[in-house]
Amino acid sequence: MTSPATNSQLYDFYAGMRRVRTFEERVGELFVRGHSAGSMLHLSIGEESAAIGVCSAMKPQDTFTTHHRGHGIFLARGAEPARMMAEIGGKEAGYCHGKGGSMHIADMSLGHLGANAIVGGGIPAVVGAGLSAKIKKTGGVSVAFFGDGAMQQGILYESMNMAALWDLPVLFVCINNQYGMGTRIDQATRNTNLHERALAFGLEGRSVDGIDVEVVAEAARELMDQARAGRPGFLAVSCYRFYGHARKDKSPYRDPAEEEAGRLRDPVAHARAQLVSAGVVPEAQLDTLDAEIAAEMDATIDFTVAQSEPPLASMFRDVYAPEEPEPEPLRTRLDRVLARE
Amino acid sequence: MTEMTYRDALRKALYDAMTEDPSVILLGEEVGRYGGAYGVTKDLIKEFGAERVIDTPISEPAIVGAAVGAAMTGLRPVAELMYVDFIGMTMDQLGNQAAKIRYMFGGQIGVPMVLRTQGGTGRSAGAQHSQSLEALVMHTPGLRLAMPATVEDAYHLLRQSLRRPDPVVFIEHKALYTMKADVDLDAEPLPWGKAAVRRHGKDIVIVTYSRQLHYALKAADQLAKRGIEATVIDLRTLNPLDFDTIREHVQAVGRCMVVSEGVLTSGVAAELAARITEECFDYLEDPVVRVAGEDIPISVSATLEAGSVPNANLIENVAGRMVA
Amino acid sequence: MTMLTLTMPRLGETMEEGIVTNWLVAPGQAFKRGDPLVEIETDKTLVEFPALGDGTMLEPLVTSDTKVAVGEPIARITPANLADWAESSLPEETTAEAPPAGVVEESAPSPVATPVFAEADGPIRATPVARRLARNAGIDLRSIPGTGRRSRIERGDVETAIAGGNATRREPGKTGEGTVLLIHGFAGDGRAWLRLASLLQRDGLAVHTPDLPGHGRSTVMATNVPDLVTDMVSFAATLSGELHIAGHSLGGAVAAQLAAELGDRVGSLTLLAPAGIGREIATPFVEGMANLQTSGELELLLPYLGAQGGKLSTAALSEMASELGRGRLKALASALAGPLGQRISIHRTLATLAENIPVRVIFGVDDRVIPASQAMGLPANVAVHYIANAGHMPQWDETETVANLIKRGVLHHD
Repeated sequence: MTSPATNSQLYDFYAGMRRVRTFEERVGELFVRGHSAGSMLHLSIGEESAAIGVCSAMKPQDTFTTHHRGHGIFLARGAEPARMMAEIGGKEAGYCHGKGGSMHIADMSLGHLGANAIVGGGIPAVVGAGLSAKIKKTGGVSVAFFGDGAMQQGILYESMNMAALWDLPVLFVCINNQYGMGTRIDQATRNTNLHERALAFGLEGRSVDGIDVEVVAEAARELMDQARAGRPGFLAVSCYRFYGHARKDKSPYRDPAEEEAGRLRDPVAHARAQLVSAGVVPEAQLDTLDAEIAAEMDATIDFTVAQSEPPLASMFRDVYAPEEPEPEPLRTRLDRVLARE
Repeated sequence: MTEMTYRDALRKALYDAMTEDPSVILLGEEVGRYGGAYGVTKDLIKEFGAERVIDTPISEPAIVGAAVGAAMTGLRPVAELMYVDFIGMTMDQLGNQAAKIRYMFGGQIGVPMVLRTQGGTGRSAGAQHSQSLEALVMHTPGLRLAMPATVEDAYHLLRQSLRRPDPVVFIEHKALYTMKADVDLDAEPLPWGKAAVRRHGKDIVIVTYSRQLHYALKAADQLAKRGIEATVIDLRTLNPLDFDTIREHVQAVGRCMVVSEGVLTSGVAAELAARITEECFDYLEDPVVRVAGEDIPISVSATLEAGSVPNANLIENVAGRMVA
Repeated sequence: MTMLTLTMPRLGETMEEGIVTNWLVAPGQAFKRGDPLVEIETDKTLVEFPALGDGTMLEPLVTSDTKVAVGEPIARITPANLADWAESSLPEETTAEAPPAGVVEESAPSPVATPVFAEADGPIRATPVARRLARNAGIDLRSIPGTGRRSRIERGDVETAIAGGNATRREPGKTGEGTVLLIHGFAGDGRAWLRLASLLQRDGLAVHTPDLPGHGRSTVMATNVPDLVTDMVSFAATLSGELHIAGHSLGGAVAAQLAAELGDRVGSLTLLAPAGIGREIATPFVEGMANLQTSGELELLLPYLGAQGGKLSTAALSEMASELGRGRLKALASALAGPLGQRISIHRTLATLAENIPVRVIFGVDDRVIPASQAMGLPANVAVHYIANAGHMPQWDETETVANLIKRGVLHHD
């Protein structure tokens, strides 16, 4: 029995996940067309339910950090896809003016405290952000998104311990796509019931199957509510990384049969099938939605290709605050040293 | 002579060392089944088994710390850090443990381990995957530091590192893995700790290492067309530092430039420039000039990335202006 | 077509203003890179400011003897290549544009440094190696002009000073450009070539400035011209490769005969106000120099040499007078000239040499020792260059012009 209200939410979740999926596909296309800055592009295809489900429970005053595979989370929090794509292309028009790239996109105005290329590097910041929310009484929660690889980083445990000790409004979200680069989760740890570690520190802890975005959303809502009340939590969302670690990785270390089965665990297809089988949204309407999203994401490529590279002199900008002097360029220094008169 | 890549040479060094010495083990992220992020350890797990080629969780401090303990107890571990940028996470194990154990414990025991890693720009890998952090290592007494620039040195320096009694940090350059050369690995290598003079010229000495060697040599070719002859010194190891070779050539020539990809301030070039100024002062016609990375982080934009570090044109330009 | 405003250049660390004393290029006149454009006087020195690239003078913006602050406009020109002038002008229509990635713009060529002596009580700008060489040789750095970056005294400057004797300066930089042997004139020594040698070395030439027998630091005596030639033949034997020989006055006659002796080894011959091409010579000058006793006498004789001759410092006069006072030159003087004028001739030698190598003769129009008109009697295959505003020492009065002419011989640009 599915209520109309639930159907409307699922439709929104589906639309959100489809946008993430299509955006990531266009990122791959940007690379193939030679317009991405480098090849270190980590796609979140297969993990859309974690981004959309958890973010559905977040409020404007909430903050978050992401890992190197964070495009979907940022989109779910309201990022402009064109500016994201431009950043992935290393263009001046990107969110970080071409300095960050795929692994470091952020928009502080959306509460995004930064995407990180160091495994676990963004986790402790939510402890500080949670402390800030608590002291300043913003009512906000700070959410750390990271992969299962970061489960073996010591910094996670130092952070969870502090969050619990200080009753901080913090949620740790592990997107368990089964692989840290080429290492399967059971090759990286003996206990794969990841939430049990959080319990040991006195946090609320849950593990959910990411195939169903509504299940993820429900778990996230409960944990976020508790976190907002000063009881920090941990949520592990189990899913499958459809493709290799980065754009160039063909994942030869995975059994093809396993990959085939893994790709059947598709949260986007699952949501679509639910919508259609419930009979509330006609399939044709979903086709139209998909086409609109495809057009929106196609435009991000056209936008990115048309943008210019950042000017060379901009590399000295933002090392320090704008009111501070920029670092002296080497060439200026050399001109002084080598001046003949 | 055999044609091989820098990557092949590193792999062969590991293969030969593991074949000769059963105490040599590899441990690091993706060194086994994946074959290394840059393919250096490809298929070694098939040759030597998972007991000696050990895939680790993503736990950098424990990887280095475990190597320290293994080295203290009779193994010859080669730990791998996928990117030198992660060295900060391991700096306690590396700087407080590996580097100091022999000294703190009055010489009772050494830590004969190798920490393989790679650094540098060239792949639009962004601010946290493109740095040149050798100065951190060079600033830590107790650690040796090797940075091969050529295919031969990729092999020989790694073999030699695995015979050293103390911890060696071995930093490869990510832009060199596919570089090919015809090499005769049976030929007698230069001894450990000896710099290589890659080109002789009487107008200016260019001291460098790692990838910048190739830019320096290209610049030297261009300078030669303008009638300026450069001596190019490849340090090969930064600790030990072969200052005798530097001194000999700087005193004979009187002009010296130090080229490094790492940031300028308090970098390797700064240390070398200071020492050259101290020890060769009476022979200098010009200040020792540093050509190094800008004092900024590395951008993902290829334009900004390339603009942040020295290249052949800059080296040529500066050398030309120094000699003019 | 781009127009460019030239500004008053900063010709020293402390210079804040300069006086435009003389425009050397007229409005509408074209100039080449290196041509002197304007003479500028600062509180320390009088220098010619050279063109940094080819171009045409449009109009001077200040008249002669006008004081102008550094950086203020002094003239408008049309440059052939704007980039040449990046350091000394106000471009009218350029914007600062960062170079594209991986490309470094070559900076504008620096003007050739004019040798500058350190101030009597100011700091000395010298490279460490120059200081060490000077210290070891017991030479006062204040007696040496600096030709390096910011007028630093460099190794080459000290070596040139040391090479007052038969020591030769180590070639400073580039190879393969050629070796030049400069032979000074009667009563002079190798130091007479200081500025010229610096300019040539800066262009990558190896330059040797030996002292002739009986002169300077040479310990060998000579009573006649063949003695000088014999000594130079043995000196040339210590050098390798092709030689380009230049000689001044008596040294010109020596240079011609040396070139004839050395044959194929000689690539070009350049004679400045040479002896041996006519009878007339200022006998009072020759005899006066050979017999003088005091620096007062010397001071009275130096105006024969031209404008620069009168500018020698008291210390230099006194040193020179004491050297000449030894009387080593009396015999040589009478071998060179008698009551009826010059006693040597190189006419035939030159005619033969000029069939095989470039031979050029340079005269300052205002030469008061050997009249410039003597050059009119030279064989037709000898190139003759007259330089206005120069006397018997064109290498002092118009150093860059002379340097360029010698270089033309080296480069076989004839």
